[in-house]
Amino acid sequence: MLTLSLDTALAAATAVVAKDGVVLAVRCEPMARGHQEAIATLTRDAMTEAGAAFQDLDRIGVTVGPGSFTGLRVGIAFAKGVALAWNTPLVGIGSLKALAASVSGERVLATIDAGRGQAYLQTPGGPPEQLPLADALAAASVSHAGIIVGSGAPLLAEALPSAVIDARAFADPVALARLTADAPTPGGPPQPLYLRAPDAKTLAERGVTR
Amino acid sequence: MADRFTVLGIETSCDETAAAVVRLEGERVEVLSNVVASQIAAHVPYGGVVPEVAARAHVELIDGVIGRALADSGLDYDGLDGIAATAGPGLIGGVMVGLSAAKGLALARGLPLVAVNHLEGHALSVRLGEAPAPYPFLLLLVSGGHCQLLSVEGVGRAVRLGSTIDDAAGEAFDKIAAALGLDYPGGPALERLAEGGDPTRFSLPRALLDRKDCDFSFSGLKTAAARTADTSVHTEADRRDLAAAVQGAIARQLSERSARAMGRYVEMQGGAGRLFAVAGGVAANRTVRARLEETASAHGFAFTAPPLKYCTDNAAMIALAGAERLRAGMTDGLAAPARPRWPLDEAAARDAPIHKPGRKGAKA
Repeated sequence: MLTLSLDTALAAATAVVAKDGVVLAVRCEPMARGHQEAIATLTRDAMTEAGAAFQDLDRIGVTVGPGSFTGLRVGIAFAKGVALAWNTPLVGIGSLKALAASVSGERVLATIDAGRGQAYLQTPGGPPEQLPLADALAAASVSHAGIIVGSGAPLLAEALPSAVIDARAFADPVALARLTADAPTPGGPPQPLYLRAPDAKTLAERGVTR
Repeated sequence: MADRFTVLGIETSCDETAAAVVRLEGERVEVLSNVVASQIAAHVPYGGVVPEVAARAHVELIDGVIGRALADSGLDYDGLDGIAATAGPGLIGGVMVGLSAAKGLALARGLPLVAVNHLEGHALSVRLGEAPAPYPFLLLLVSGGHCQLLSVEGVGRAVRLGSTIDDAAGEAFDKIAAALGLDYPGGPALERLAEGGDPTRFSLPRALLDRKDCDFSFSGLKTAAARTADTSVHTEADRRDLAAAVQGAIARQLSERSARAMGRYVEMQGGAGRLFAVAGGVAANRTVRARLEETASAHGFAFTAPPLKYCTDNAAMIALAGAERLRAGMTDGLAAPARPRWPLDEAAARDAPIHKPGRKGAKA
């Protein structure tokens, strides 16, 4: 299976080409912003280095979040464009799942600093969620995780004094390729997993009556 | 084949997710498909366009809209010569969605990418009608986000004669409509309310009377109308009269500045191309349109406006701008930035963009 994996959800823009479990080419640039400008060129370069043609791709994987809203949309929109071009199946990858898959070991807790006193986290076997820091600490302390991975790891370290802390800011490209190949066949096009409502109030919430 | 350019255009800069396929052959323009998925319903609860809500809708809709535009055109990607997308100005979260999808398609199909200025799309929309407007022409672009007068001499060649110094005319329509208790989008609702109203009963301020340029200002009008709505509007007849006064005041200002721009334009063009084109959603307002037709006629200009479906935001105009640029050999790299602000005058110099992330500059 020839796959292309894309990730612009967190602090890097990444394109990975893999075939049957072997990574053929990786382009991964750490960045806080500029994913939109970077991802197409990185993808082109990875495909070229892999000697792969877009029409030969069996599957495209893209991270759906949680993460930077803009980053999620850039990655998903770009992936949708690539997938439309040759009608290639497109699968979504959770970014917390991708972080967890980036480290080896059992019972991994993945977490991303969501700002505003919040953390995105996924405990072993649990769903991705957004929690206030206090709740996140409580969830971490009962998770029995041996490893905490992601930008939020230092925030939750006190809840699990014996856990290994891996504060990486983005997922490992090899893990992205593996999750793309292992993903179940999609039911429909992937959509962003924001875990947070738009920062806007409706007229009713603002008390405006018409 | 050498003079035939078939382009898929994508537009996501405000609250319409749109895709279209347009073919340019010589001076013949053919719209092969034109799909617009409006998000108005998603924004109604907020009383206006919320950028984050718009961006969320764009990314959900984008693949379906592109797929439909291609299916409606009867073509496969093999039948395309290029992919064009709005790269600004507009709501940046939405712009990035359309531009990113365009990059994915262009890269995977080996097609050239054209990053189109949304304002240039509107400027060229007058070439989407039955008889495409020939260059040059004087353009009034008047919408919810923009209000400008431009001398359009060709693709990538537009000179701005005037612009709003605060709100766009359509924005004034929408905000005053909200003050009158009308639902978003308020422009069309205000037009309906104004029917049978007395436009002379309420006097509203005239802006920038001491200036001799072609710039617009609508914020004073907006404030005055909101105040009048608060203090002097009690009955349905009051509402009608105020709506009529607002509509008249906007039409008058658009007409006055257009007349001034016609004088400038005649000087610039030496009397050639006496064509006045009006594009943008506000061009759909019948009072505004009638007033502008009179103004054109009084100054010896022919009048044209695109069909209504190409007045409001659409992707056919983006596809056409893409096709015209492609024909002129103007394409963009895969690193093309999305630009929240992008004055049209700069479009000519866009091969050497000065944009850096975080740096804004003139709005449009």
